[in-house]
Amino acid sequence: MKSFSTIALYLGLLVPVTAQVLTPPNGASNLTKSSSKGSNSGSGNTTINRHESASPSAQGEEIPIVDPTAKTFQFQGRTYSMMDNNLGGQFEAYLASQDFESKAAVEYREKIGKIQDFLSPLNPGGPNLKSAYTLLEDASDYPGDGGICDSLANSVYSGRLAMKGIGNKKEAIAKLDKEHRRLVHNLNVLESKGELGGTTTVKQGKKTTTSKAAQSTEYKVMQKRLAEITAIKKKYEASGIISLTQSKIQYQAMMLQLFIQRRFEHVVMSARFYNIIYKDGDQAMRIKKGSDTEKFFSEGLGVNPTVAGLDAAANEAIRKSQTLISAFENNVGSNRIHAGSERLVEAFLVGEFTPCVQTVSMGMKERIQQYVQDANDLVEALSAKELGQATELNESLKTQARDYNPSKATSYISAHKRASDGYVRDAKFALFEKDTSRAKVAIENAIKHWPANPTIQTFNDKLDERLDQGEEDSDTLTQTVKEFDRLLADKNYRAIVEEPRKSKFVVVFGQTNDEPRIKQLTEIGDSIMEIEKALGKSQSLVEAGQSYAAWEAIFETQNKYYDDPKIANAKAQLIGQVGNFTNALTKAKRLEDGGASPQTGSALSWYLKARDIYPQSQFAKEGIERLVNKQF
Amino acid sequence: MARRSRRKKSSNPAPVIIGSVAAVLVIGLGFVFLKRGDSPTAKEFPLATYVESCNSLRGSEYSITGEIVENAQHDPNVGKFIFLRVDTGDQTISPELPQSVGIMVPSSVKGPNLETKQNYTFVVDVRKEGSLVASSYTAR
Repeated sequence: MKSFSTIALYLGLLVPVTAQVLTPPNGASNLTKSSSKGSNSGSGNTTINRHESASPSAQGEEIPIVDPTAKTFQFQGRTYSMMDNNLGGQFEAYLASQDFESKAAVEYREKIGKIQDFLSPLNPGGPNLKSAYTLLEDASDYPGDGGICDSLANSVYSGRLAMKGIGNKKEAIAKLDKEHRRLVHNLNVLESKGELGGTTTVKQGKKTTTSKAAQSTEYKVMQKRLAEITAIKKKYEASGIISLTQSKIQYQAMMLQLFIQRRFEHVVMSARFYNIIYKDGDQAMRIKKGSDTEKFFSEGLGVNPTVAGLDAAANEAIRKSQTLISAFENNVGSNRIHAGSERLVEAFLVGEFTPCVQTVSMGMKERIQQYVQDANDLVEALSAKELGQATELNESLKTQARDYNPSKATSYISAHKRASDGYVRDAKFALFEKDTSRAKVAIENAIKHWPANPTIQTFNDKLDERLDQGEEDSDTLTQTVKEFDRLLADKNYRAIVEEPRKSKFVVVFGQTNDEPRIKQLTEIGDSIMEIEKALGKSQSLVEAGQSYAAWEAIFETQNKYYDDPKIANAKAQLIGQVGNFTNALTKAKRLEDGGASPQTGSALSWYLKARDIYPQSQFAKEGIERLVNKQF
Repeated sequence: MARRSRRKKSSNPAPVIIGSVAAVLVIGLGFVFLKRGDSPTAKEFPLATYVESCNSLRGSEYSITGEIVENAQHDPNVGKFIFLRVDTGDQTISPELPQSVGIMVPSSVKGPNLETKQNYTFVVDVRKEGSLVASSYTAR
């Protein structure tokens, strides 16, 4: 608990300054607000508040938390996000970088270690300030140091100069003391010899002093010098104290800055330099009263911070990083990549510049990088409702890490897929019921839940097919109607009722509810049937040798459907056999109907002639009856 | 020859002559009457023309002889309508042409019973639309 509190303390310091994401819990908003305000005003950093979307998802939860950059921790009633997008980017850069394995990096870390050794009280012969300082200047050449060693070296140099100046003043004060003592002795000697002169009354403010005034010039000079020495001594003492305090303040500020930057090794080095430079045992940290830093230390630990405390905190951070890295390596070794990634993130956050973090092998980092990248991609895919890709990533994460919990993502994906498929079904129903508005809304909802839903594409493809089919049907319809009308104009009725043309007409006219053409088609069908019936009867009579009867059987039908080629042909063939009969009937009819001057007598003779040829002639019989009746 | 011989045997020739004249007149008048009863003025029926264009014969009177093939219709108030197969006699008629005609025998025309398959001679008038109406008829 103590270690967590300690690391949280560090992180609490780091979060506002390094622009960490601050996500306060509900009810702590005032606290956060003041903290953010103070942080912003004090350091100029930006605090980003990340709020989850309030829109509920299908299963009551938002996107599952598999994003390592969204991890949070609590400290003193506040919730802090461990990483923001920027730091997430830094972490990804860390995972992808091989710079930490370069020769220069290795040498740099070796130099830092040696500096710490030189400054250690356990160094043989005691702390070696000069060697440490020389190596510090050397280490600052490494680009990855970022000039931190150079800054530290400058502070050390500045402190040394300040301390040297103070030393000079001390020597001057000592000389003044010595002169002061000599003058006092000389004055005592003069007084004892009675060489002072007359009595003098001196009035200083309300106080009146009566003394023997020095009358000799030498005595007066000595007195004046004594007063000057006292004044100079006080001035030297005052300026020396001020220089020391100012030097410590500047150095401590640099230490705090290093701590905030998580340059914990530099903090340790600076603390050891401090003890060597300022040997007065004063380790109290001079932090501005009421500042966030002061409050943090005083409220967190309940004591005023010291240089030694800062040193201990830095060492604790280094140790914490080592612990986290060790846990990370164990997790990766047991294929618990999810936990491993979290430990590495924590280690990176706490001690980004510590050797243990920077020396993680590239192979391990690649596994974490793949996992983190896939996790980030999964979050993005889920946000964009790319459920197909999200499913693949979710499966990939399961494969990569045995401790990855895919249930939330799976549930989220399944819910949205089901919802989308349901809406597609609704759209199909709506189209089936010819409710295009409802279909449109349904398909829009389906797209919202899963834009890349393949069933939506299938639905659209089928819709396109139906539209194309509709256009094709429309063409077919037009062509069919034209064909029907053309055949009708040509009086080619038999072609109209020939299969499969007739079926096509029936289907098309039925689809379009073309009542007039349906009626025409029905009438044509009936007519052809009547003709065929007559032809059938005629054929039977011909086969029975009754050609006249056969002719009569088709005569009326042929007259009715005179433009039917089949019956006309049948009638023409029969005429060769029954020519005299038909000739008599034709003449009879022509004479009977003779316009304005019918010739009934002649007609009757011809009807009788026809009857003579075919006594059962119905036509002859009817003609005869008709004409006979005219006589009565 | 017989008449000449009877004239030579008569003593009073005047009565004989008068009687002869009278007899001749009677015979002559009888012949005239007899000839009038047989419609001796009716022309032979032109069947070929009739079947082709009966209206062209309208208003004429003809004598037709033939066999009744059918009593088509009978109305006592109007008459009887028969179909007669015409005996063309010496006329040459194409076999393709009709041989029968229809004749209306009004009730007012008296004569023997008209029976089918019996031959009769009809004096007919050609009326409107070429209809044949008998004015008299005799059995043959």
